[in-house]
Amino acid sequence: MTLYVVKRLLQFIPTIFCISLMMFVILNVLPGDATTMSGGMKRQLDAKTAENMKKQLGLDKPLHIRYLHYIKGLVKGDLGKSYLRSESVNDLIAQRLKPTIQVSLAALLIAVGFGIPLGFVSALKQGTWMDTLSMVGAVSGVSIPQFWLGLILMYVFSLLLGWLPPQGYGGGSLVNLIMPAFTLGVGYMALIARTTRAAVIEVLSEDYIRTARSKGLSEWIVNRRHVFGNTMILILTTVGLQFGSLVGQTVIIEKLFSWPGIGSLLVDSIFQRDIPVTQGCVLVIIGVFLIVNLVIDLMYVIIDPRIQYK
Amino acid sequence: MNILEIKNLKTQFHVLDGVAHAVNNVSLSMEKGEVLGVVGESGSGKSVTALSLMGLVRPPGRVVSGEILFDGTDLRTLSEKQMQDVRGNRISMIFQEPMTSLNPLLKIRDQISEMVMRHNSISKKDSYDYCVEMLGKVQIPYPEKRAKEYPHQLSGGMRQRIMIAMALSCNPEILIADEPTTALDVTIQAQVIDLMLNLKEQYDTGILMITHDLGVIAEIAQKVVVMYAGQVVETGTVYEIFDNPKHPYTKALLDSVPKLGKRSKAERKRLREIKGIVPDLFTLGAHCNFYERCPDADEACKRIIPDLIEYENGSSVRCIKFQGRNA
Repeated sequence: MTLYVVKRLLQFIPTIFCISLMMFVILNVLPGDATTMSGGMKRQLDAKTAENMKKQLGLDKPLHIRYLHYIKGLVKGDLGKSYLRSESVNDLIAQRLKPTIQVSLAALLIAVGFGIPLGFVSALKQGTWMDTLSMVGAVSGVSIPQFWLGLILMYVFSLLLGWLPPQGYGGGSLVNLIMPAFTLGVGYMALIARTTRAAVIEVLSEDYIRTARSKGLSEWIVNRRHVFGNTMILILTTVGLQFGSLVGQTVIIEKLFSWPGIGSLLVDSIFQRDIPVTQGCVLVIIGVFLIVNLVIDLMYVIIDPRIQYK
Repeated sequence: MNILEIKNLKTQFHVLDGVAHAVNNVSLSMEKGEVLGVVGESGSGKSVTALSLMGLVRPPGRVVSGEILFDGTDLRTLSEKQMQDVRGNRISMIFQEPMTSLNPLLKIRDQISEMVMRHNSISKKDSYDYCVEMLGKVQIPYPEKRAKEYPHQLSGGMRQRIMIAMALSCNPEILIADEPTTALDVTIQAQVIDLMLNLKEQYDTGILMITHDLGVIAEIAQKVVVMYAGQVVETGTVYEIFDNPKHPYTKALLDSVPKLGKRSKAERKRLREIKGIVPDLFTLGAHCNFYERCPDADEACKRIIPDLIEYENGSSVRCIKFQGRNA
C-alpha cells in the first residue's frame, strides 16, 4: 500500500513535466508578452522601456534556455518570479490558495451533501413526483451556465433582498462564501444527484439486495447496510473527477465574485502575459487534480474489500 | 398437516407492453418437513411463485389475487412489518446465483449475523460464534477463518453453502431453494444436495425445491409440481410423475432427459426435444397453453382452457384428454 502510494506520487513527476513543457511552449508562442500587455491593451510602453524590461525579465533569451531555467527552479519547488508583481509566484499562490480551497470545499460539501440524498430519494421513490422534481432540478442544475446563475443570485440576494454581499472575500466570512460556493457547486450537485440515482437503481436490482430482503431486514436497514456502500463505489469516481475539474472552474466563479483565489489570479495573469504566474496557477490546479484522484483511489481500498493495491 | 397451501395465486407484471401473466392460478400444498419439487422450463413461473410466497415481488410485478396459507395464516394479509418477521425466520430462501447473491462489501459473518440478530435476541459476539458453528455444519473448512472473509475470497460452491447456512440459521419451517445447484459444477451439485438433505433431517425443515433439473427432483423430492406457462399442469408423488406421467408436457420433459446406463446401441433412444417455445406470457390464448407444442393436441384442445383435475388425493393433471389414472 505504502509502496503503491509512493509509486503513484512518482508518476506525478512525468505528468507535471509534460504539462509544464506544453504550457511553456503554448504560452510563449502566444502573440504579445508582458511588455505589451502590462498596462492593459491600450497603453503601449515606449520601445526603450520595453527593451529594458525584456532584458530584465530574461525574455530576450531563446525559448529553450528560458525553459531550462524555469525547470531548474521547478525542481527546487521554485515557480519563478512574476514579471509584473514584486512577489515571487510561490508567495502569490500561497496567498491565493486558501480562498480557492475554501470555495471548492464548500462547493463539494454542498454538492455531496445535497446531491447524494437527492439521488437516493429519487431512486427509492422512482416514478413519483419527488423523483420527477429532483431530476428536473438536476437537469436544470447541469444545464445552467455558472456565470449566469451567479449574476441572477447576485441580483436577487444582494440587490433585491440585500441578504448577502454581492462580491469580495470579506476576510473569509461565511456570508461571503455562500453565493460563490453555491454557484460553483450547483452543477456538481446536479451531476452527483443524477449519478447517484442511476447507481442506486443499478444496485437495487442486484441479487444481494434481494438476499438482504429475504432475510427479513427492513427497507431502511437494507438501504443503509447494503445499498449505500455499493452505491458509493459506483459514484466515487464521478465525485472525485468532478472535484478536480471544479477547482478548474473556480476561474469563472472567482472572477465573477471578485474572489481572491487561484482562479482569478490565473485569469489576470493570462491577460497580462505574466507567464510564470499562469504556469504556477495551472500547475497547482493540476496538482490538486492529481492528489484528489489519488485520494479517491485510496478510498476505494477502504470501501471495497475486493480492491487491493500492491 | 399442510404447513403451506397456496390457492389460486396470480402474479402479474404490468409493463408498457401489457400484462404478463407470470403466475396464473397456481395452487400447491406442502406438508411439514416435506420436499416438494417444482419443475418447469425457464419462464414457467417457478421463481415468481417463490418470490410471491416470500412477498418479494417488486414492481412492476404484483401479486393480484389468491391465498398463501402458511401455518394457517394468509401471508397476503400480513403487513410488510409482519412479513419481515416471517422472512428469513420462518421461511427462508436460497437463490440461483451464489456468485452475486452475497453483498461483496460485507464479511460472511456479518451477513449471517445480521439475519440471526434480526430474528433472535442475541449479542453480536454470540451471533458470530453461531455463524462459525453454522459454517461448520455446511462443511466449510476452517470456518473461523472463512467467517471473517469476504465473498470474493470464496468459490461458487462455498458461497452457495454459505447461503444454505444463512438460510437455515434461524431454523425456518420452509426453505425455498430456487435452482440452488444450477450455477454449480456437477460434483459440487451433489455435495450441496446431500448437504441440504442432511440438514433437512436435522432441522425437519420443509424444502420447496425449484429446478429444471429432473435428476435433482428424482433424488430428493417426495411430491412434484410441474409448471408450464405460469400454470400447474401436473402434480403427483415423485414415483407417479417419473413412472407414469399423465400430462403430455411432463412426458415430453422426461423424454428430453438423457438416461445414464442407456448407452448401448439397443437401448439408446434419440433424445426428444420439445418443439417450439414457451408461449408469450403477454398473449395467452383461450386454449390450452401447451396446445401449440403438444404432440397429442387436436381440435378440442384449441377450444377449451383445461382445468386442473384432481384424480386422486394430491395428484392432479391439467389436460382434457386425461381419462382416469390408468387410461
